[in-house]
Amino acid sequence: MSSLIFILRRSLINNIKELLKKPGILIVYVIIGLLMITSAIVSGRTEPAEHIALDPNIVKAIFTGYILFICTFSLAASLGGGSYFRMADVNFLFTAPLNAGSILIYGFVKQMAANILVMVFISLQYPNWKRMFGFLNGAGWLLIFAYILLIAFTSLLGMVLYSWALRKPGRKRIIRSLIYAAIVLILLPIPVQAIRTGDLLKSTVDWLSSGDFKYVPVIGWFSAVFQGAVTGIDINVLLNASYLLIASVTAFIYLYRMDTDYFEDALSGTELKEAMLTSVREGKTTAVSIRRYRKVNYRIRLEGSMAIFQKQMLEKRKTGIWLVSARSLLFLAGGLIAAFALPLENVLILTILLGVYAYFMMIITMAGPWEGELSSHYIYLIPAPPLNKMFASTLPGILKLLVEGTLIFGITGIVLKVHPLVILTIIGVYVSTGGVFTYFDIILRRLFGRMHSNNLRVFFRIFLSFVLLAVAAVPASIIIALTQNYALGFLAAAIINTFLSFLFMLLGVGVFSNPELS
Amino acid sequence: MLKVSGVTKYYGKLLAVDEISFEINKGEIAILLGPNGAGKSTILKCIAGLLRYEGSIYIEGHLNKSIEAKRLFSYVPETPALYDALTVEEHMQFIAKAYRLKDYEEYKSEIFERFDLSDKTEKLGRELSKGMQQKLSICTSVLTRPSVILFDEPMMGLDPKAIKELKKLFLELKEAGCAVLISTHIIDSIKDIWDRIFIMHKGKIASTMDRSEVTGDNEVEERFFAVTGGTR
Repeated sequence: MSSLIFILRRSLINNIKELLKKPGILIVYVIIGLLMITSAIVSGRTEPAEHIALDPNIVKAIFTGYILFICTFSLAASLGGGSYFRMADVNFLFTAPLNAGSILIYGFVKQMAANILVMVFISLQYPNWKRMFGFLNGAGWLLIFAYILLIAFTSLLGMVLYSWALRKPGRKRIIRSLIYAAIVLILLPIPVQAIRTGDLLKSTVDWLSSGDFKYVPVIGWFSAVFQGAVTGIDINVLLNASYLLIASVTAFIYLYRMDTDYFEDALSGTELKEAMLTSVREGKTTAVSIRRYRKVNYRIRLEGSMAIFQKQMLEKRKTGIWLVSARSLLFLAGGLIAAFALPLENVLILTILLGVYAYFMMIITMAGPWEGELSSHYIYLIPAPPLNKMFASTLPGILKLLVEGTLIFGITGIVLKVHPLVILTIIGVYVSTGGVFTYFDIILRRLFGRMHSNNLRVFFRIFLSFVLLAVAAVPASIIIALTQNYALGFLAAAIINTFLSFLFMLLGVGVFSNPELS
Repeated sequence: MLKVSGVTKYYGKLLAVDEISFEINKGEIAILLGPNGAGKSTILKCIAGLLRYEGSIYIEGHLNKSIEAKRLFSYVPETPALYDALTVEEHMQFIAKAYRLKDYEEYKSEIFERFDLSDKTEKLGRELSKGMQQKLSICTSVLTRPSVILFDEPMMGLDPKAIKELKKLFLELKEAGCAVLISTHIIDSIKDIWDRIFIMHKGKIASTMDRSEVTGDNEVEERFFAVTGGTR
């Protein structure tokens, strides 16, 4: 065990030493640390505002929905081969005369450390959430504990399922089907109720906040623990937390006793993870890295830097996703649900959707295809001006936003019978906001390099992007308030965003001419 | 054709390349020979415009980072970096379009044949073995018919037939008037092809050898160990 502690300790020390060599980045991390402390102090003093705090049932429903999502996603993904380890661990640790259980604990500690960033995010957003959700004092610590438990338990259970599934062919399919069937059964009462009442939103909230969930193992236990943030820590919260701890320890002991069998399973999972990490670093999504590529008939015809654009379009077509992703469809579904469920003025619903999706765009840390280009030397060698290469590399992402925006706001807008000009300008705002984020990410890459820009992206998106968005949102709001003309307001926002995007392009272009800047 | 003047490169505080200057002429094969960490790859990356440096590098009179220079040179990196989702054929198509090449099909087929890639044109980049990836990386580089070509440890991972073909290719490039710069630490691999050797040690060119000056078979090896401090 001491050798494993040595690796963890030295890795931490060496990472800190590396940071000390880069004072600029260190300052940013120190600022984040200070903001976290301030956030903790402020949230401690913030009382839940009566007029902002949501209905406790809505908060309960959000928690249950979140738990359902994490459990389903995490367990289904684990069947693809989850692993706590990296290839260096496989080469050095799996072959060393070390206790298998100790190695598992080591992997587990690393996994938890990887989730620190999410916890940072939670703590930074916490004062807002406290006011909005009406959390009690001390709820932040409970949420962090519940989040760690959720990640730990789903990871352990995922590994148990994966190891068991590998024993016989066909088991993976059975488990996956069972997971999806369970989710369908759990969510089935919602549409049934909605058909009866004609109110989908209310049916969803009613069901997800109902007390019946306490009879559903795991989901119900987690739901009870998370709800302690609103109801306070009582015997019920402690009891459910203890169920989860017992279940986690049982899963851990099961894996521990499997000894080297687990390593054999972990090996393939680790190789897959390594490939995924490489893919993610190179700007591809995790799903793409394990996806089979389709054969397509497509010839690159454009020349010079635009060949990069066509190459990316070819890659996108091969993944089968092309310009419409699962996210686009999910956002569209959300828009349609909002269109039917929200009792608000139609144009206001579309505006709220724009705000919500811009917020999602901001917090979802997505590596763009342009990052993949930077990992290959070809982009630097191609004889074309760097600005052209930058434009060609980012164009597919912007086109994707255009298609996504048209899909979401076009269809939802038609359903809501919003004026076509408003729809068009709102699409413009959506696309140009995406442009602002894209080119802002390139500046982050230029300032902090690949590794740190990935880590700091969420932080900067939350803080500076709010400011950036305000640059367009404030004038747009004033125009709308003064003229009651939404199209004019959105048009102004789109123009400001486009101007910002061009400004960021010029500031970040060095990344495409010098790999050392990236 | 390739002129490197007073190039110095630091990685943080580490001096990787120290005031290096040399020239390579048309139709010349020059070798950067040196032990691991001597700075060979760094100087190649500087020439390819992938690193910032002090000093100047010109390719046929153009600054190496200019678009004109980029049209004239090619670079084969030590580790092949291909696109996962592109087939062998599509890699060539992409390079041809990016470099605005005309009438490249015949030449492409010829180099595919030489490197045994003709029957693998529909394979994806990620499906190729490491050696095959290296072959494709070489093919994409020569497709542009460069005036200056830089090879960083080009024989790593290649099978004996491919090594033989590559050596033949070096000589053909030389005959076509191309300036070839190869970095390696394996002396035997460049035995019969070199015109000039720059022995690098601790970021400097510690010794330069000209083919016309060499008399004995083992002279390169002897000089290498004498300069770098090792023993045979």
